[in-house]
Amino acid sequence: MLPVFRHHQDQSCRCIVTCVLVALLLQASLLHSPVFASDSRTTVQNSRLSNQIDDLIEQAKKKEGVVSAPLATDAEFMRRVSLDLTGKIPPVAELRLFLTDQDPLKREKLINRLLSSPGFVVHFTNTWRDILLPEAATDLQTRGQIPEFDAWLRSQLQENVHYDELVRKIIDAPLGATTNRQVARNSQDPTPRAYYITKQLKPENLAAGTSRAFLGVRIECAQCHDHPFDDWKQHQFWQYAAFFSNIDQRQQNAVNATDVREVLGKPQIKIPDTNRLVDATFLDGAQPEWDKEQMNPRTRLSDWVTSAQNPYFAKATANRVWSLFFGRGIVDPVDDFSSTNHASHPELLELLARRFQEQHYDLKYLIREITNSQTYQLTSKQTDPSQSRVEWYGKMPTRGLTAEQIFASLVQATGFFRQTTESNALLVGAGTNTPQAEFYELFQSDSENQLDPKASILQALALMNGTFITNATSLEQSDVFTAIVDFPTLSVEKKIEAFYLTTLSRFPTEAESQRLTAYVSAGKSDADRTHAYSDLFWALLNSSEFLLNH
Amino acid sequence: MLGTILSSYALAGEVQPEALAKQSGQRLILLAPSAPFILELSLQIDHGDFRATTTDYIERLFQSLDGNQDGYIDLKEMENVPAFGIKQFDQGSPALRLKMLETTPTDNRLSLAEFASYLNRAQGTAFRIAGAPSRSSQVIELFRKLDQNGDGSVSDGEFIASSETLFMYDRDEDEVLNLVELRPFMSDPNAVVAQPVSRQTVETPFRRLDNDRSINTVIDELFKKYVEYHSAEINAISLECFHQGQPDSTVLQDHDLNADGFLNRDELFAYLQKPVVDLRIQVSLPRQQSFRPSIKILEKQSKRVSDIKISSRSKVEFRVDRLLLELRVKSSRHMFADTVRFYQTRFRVVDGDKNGYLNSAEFAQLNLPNTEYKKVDKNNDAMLNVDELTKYLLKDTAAVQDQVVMTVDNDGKSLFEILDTDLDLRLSSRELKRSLQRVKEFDGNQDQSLDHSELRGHFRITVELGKPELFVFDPRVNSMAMSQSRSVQRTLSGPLWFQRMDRNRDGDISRKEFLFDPVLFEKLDRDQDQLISPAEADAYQKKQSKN
Repeated sequence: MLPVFRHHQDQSCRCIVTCVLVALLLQASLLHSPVFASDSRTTVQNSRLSNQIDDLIEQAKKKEGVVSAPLATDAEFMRRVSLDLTGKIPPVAELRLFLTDQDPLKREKLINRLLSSPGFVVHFTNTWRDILLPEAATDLQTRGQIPEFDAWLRSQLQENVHYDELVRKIIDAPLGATTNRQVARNSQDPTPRAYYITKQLKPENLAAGTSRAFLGVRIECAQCHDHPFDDWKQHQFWQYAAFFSNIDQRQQNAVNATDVREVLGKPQIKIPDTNRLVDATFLDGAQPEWDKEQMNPRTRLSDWVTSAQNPYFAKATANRVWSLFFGRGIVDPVDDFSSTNHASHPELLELLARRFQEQHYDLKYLIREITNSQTYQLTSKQTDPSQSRVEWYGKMPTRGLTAEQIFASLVQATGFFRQTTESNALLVGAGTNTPQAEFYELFQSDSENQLDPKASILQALALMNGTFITNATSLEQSDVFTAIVDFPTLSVEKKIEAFYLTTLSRFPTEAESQRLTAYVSAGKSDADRTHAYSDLFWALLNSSEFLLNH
Repeated sequence: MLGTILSSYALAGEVQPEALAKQSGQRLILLAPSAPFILELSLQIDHGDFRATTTDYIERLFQSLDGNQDGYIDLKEMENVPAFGIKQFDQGSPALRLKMLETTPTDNRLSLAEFASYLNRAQGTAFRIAGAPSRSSQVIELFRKLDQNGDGSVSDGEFIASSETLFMYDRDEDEVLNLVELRPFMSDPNAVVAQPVSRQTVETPFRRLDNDRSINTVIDELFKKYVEYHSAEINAISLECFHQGQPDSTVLQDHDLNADGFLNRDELFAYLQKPVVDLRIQVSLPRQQSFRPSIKILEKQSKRVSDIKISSRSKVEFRVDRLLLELRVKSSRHMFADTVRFYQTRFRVVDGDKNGYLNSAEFAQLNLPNTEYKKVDKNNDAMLNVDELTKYLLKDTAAVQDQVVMTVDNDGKSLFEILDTDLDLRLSSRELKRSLQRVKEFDGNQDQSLDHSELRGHFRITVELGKPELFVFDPRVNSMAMSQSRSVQRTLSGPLWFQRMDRNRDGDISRKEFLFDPVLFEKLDRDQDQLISPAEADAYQKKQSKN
């Protein structure tokens, strides 16, 4: 009860203290000296894609007169790469080891370690699910489909199924009652059929979803009329949608893929409000030969989408993966490849797509190379005005976190106990009054732009006065806080250091350490000092340095 | 059984009927830890031979389906052959269904023998062994996950590597594996289970010895399992393997044609056609008659059987080596009448317009598993009356009832339960570290590896007639539901900082959990096992407070 009491009764005092602390932290993050920036560096061979990325980015920067910021410190890098690859800040113990490691290849080794961790599988399951099932965030009815889709995605990512194969499996997802005995035997195995269910099995929804997600094309703008700004015609949209028109749902609105029947052979669809019947045609104008063999049109489409000749697939994917690490695509928005929306670095996009294809669409390869590049490893601190133009990558842009990243990082920082559950508590448990559900509801963002995170008053209030943070900073309830404060015979500096590492994933600067040590030591009794630590922990958790990926 | 006899005789000609006619019961082999054990169940249904009843049933069914009484079921008549609730048989044309037979009839029609083969294919042979997972911790199949090379046993090396093997399952990276992380995904626990549990394959150490195929499979397993008796050179198994507990070995020696002390594949095959039976048990079950089912031991030939305990008419307990077997027989007779009555009542409820028949929309509300309206509405007049429904149900249940099912429920501990010493339904680092020690006592044959039968020391075996699907439920679903809601309490031992630093609440602080300098961790971890125990934390606390 003590902290709650304090939060309400001692508000004014707290505000002053925390304002001072927050100001101190902000100052500290700005003072992050570039002198530390060159402490370790990945050695690369020239032929490596990561090197080539840097060359092309550097050329463009020169042309645009953009000055590069220095490399990020090890701490800044580890926090960033952990958030990007595993969706949460690093554990203190691993951070300490990394920071003291003298190995010049330690950044590359860290990337490899994170790529093969369960955290990577979980985070990228969340990431791809958000991309593939955007409806699930808002549509309560389809949320029930998420656990199976997540389980399926997880199994694919765990086995590092290459991206073309993954997409093929989604487009060609098993629908309806299976006739294949082998499949029937494993009927408990998860499938990606949720992709179809969330899109209500409607050809137009499926056409829009697949072209956006896999090809980076917003062809749905041509659903009712020819595309206003691009070359897409209405009939092209429906020709593409026709690939899904063989799916026949026996019962309308049944959210059950087993009720689905599907016929083989040449699919056709009628353009609504017209008498025109169009044949299934790929976006490049080619038509499959239907007479050859009885093949599911979706199988045909999946072959075309993932084929090496497809002009969109590799580029759209490489662009999307790039955007996950820089907050914007080389073509931005990432699903708007059109004649009017030009790439900022066309050669780089070509190169990424080509190499991705050469590596058989291995996502991990692409991610490894991007994160190993200097471009990714620059500091986010602006050192020159030219770096404010984010599209030239003069510095690492500061990005907002997803609701999942915020909650996972809070769990990491505070030691909040949670166990893996069958259903994704963030999604299915909405309204169930768990901290996860609360945070997800508050922090889910419909903004497509990671570079312009918007905070609401409710979000701020939840972090400042919500039960979660209140408990996390109380001696009675908290885990990490109590573990640090109660640990015997450790100096105030060491405890402050532990608080910094567990929240901001870095050591405090000398100035921070001195001021905070003085602040804590000013306490006359143990209770006063505990109070001071609690204020410090609270301020750290509420700092923008904690709530952003930088 | 009958199916096997007929099909193998008529189609493949593999087994001589005379040889089988002498066989008086269903033979089983128990792959016990030290040596195989042969069990014979003499099955009686309504006081008559199990196979005779079946013959009668198949013949009756055959005749009723053979519309033109020409002694064959042609493609048209085939349409009326029930699919027994098996999806594959419920779809496709009759011709396609015929193709699923091991030997497709060339004349596109079924003789009585071929029809029996079809029944076999659909239902398995009339005797079936089914394994039943009963608790959620058994569902996670930890054994299979640790058995990296898939040889059916977990070796010491595999136990030592358990932490690394299971690393990728730890989704929340808290160094503790809970049931959700380990168990397979349940796509929709509330949906009608597509496959009834009786047809799910769960590993049991019992194998049937009735046809060529089952015997050949058993031979493969014997070679693999009893390595100590197997000679890879001549690909044969020592006579010793079967000799254990047997007072007389002449039958065995007779089968060793070349007298080399080993049975090669052919010799073993011949022997297993007619092996020396270690234990003969009689099981009597009611189907149409009304009496209490019973079980009794007819003959005990092996010294390996001990502690025989006859608990009641319907229950017998005994040990084979160290394994405890608890056999019971059960009558499921009432269930058949219940199914029919249940649906007859439902019929009246769902007949919304009270016109005495059901249209297809009304029929849908009956919720008959895996059944289409047109199959039940025999005369296709779109009016399904109660007689048609009753006839369908009788035929359907009769087909299921034709089987004898032996359900093997392992009541011994699962590997997960053995390793989960603190019973918190999670596996911690310390529990995995100690896994090798912990399982040593279960390694009955001391071969430095653990197999299924060594793990499960107690089998509950139920012999009964097949149940209609309405009453078959998947125990997995039930066990899933109750498993993970339990909350894990904070560690209560050690100083306060220890309790709170142990963020995964497994009772230890790992390197990853430790918040301070790694050098300090080493100082605290006095036994250098990479975990700070509560005792170590207490010791540190005391030392510090003295200073």
